[in-house]
Amino acid sequence: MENAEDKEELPAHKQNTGHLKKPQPIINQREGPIVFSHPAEEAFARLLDFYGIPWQYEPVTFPLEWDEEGNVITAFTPDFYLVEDDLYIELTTMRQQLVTRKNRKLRLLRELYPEVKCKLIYRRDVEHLSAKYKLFEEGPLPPLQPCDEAELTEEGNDNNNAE
Amino acid sequence: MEDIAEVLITAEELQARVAELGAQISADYAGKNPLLVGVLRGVFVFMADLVRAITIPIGVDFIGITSYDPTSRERGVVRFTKDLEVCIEGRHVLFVEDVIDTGLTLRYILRSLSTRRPASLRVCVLFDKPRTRLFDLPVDYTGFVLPDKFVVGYGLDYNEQYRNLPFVGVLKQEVIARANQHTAA
Repeated sequence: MENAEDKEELPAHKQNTGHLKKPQPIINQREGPIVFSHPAEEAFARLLDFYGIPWQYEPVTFPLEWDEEGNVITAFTPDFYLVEDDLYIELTTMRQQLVTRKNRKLRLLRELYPEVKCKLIYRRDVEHLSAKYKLFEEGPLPPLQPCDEAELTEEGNDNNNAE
Repeated sequence: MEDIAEVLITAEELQARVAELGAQISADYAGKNPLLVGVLRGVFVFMADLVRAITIPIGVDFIGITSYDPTSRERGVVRFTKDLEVCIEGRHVLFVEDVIDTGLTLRYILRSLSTRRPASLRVCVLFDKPRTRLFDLPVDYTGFVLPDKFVVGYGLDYNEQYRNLPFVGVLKQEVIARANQHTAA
């Protein structure tokens, strides 16, 4: 039987994951047209369409951390699921030095859902895609959107999770 | 040459590595009369040197596919602009590519070729950029692993220029910026 001291030594995500049962992903029900949260995502979707690669947008949310009452407090929803490849893709348009929160989520995802394949595409890789395929007429990559800035602010307060 | 920031792989290094690949392929495919298939246009320089480094009987064919065009009004899909002229059913096929990065093109081509039921289908790539790979794809022969830089030469182009350079070099940033300004204007 584990005591309080043992529990404190566990990493935070293992303390609160309800680790006796296997975590279950949440299937997202979507109605109506897809609203992409960043132009890069829409451009990436067009690229996948061109190459005939079936995809779904944010079809699943993976709970990653829970509070003591079992409520999900951290979750990860990858941007794309490539059906034929059984692969999740997460595009990040944040600056490289500010992606620690996503890196941490990806690490948790791999620990809790080891069967799930997910690839994180960093901003510089998105820029590479943009340059290679000329995804945007106005330049390499659109400037950060308000939602990105919010993520950056949140990220800036999350330095404890830096890798 | 004035547009090149640095030479990444010299002509001598290229020729030496291509000779090694040719020797390896000759040994692996002895008695199998493989068909080497390349996708136009970037592969033509590498293919020309590779086939001359192979010492066993082989066949050669090329395919062409459309490039992604975001400005196209019609949202088309990738398709062959030039198909194989040789039937590959029951044949040992070695697909030869100049560079692989995202793997989008290679994924499409391998799926297409595999439906034609070749006896085997393997991949030879001269330049691999694994960092930007989206998919896990089998690569059986690799010449060089390239850093995540914009390189040109030995078949690799930028706006259809520099393919004829005998070495691989990193393009100066100002050249890319200048081209982008020109395009925007």
